Amino acid sequence: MLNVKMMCYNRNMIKKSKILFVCALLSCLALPVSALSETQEDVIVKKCNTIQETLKMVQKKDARVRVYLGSLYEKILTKYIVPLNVRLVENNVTNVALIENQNAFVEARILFMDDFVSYQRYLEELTAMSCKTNPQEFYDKLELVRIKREKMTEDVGKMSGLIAKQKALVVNLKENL
Amino acid sequence: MNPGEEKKESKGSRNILIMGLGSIVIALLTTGISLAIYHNSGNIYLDRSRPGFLPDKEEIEEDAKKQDSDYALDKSGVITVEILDEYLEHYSAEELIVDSYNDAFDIDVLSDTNLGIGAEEPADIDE
Repeated sequence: MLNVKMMCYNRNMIKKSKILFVCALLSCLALPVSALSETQEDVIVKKCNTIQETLKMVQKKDARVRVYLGSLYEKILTKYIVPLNVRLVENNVTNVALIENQNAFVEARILFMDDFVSYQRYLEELTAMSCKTNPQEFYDKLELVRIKREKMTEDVGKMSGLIAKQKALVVNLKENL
Repeated sequence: MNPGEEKKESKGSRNILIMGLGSIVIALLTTGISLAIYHNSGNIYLDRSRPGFLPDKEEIEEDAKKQDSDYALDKSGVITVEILDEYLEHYSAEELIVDSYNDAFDIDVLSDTNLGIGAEEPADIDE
């Protein structure tokens, strides 16, 4: 009885691994979606210097924005969010939502910094790459940088959401005083 | 000068040379390690004082014009409606500034069109 069960189990496993193998094969075939056309490759080679210049400008602008946003987040946390929670504790007012928001804000801020470092690492690698000799590889890297940049947009949106939530919570606190 | 003194002097100058070279090697080694840590930790990407990333003259002037609010909520004291009103007033001003950066990492900046890889001409990227 046990042997029959084991056989059935093994057959199922073989079947599953076959399906997985086919799926993996199909996904491998489907990978080069960002394959460049010959014209695009020519354009990249031809405009390589301009593209690199643009990327360096973007990199510089991003560094500036990061400094501004980083200091603004720091200011909001140290001058508004934390002091209010400390003061509430001193006044024996329990507001779990505000404390939760503070924790979420701290976490999101760390994530913002980490994601920025990761994004800049990729962007720097991209600017150091030669688009003249290997446009396809350059384009693949560019796609990765775009994904990282998208993550940055998400992080900034999340931070703004938490800042708006803090305001709503304080308004609510004021109404219930 | 007798031969013994001469030998002593040449040994001394050799030691000074070894010490000098040793100091240079140690300095290069420690600088290399520091730079590796600086790069690998990612701090290099958060640092705007590195070459090529220093603020432009216009940016410095622009920053100087900005009036930074000195407001900070006191950690001690009672909580009143007036205090929260003042808090919200200053907080809303900061929120507005943050919101103005919502498109800071716009994905279109790296689009094919903007980089000149697409069919259309690239748009200008304002610095």
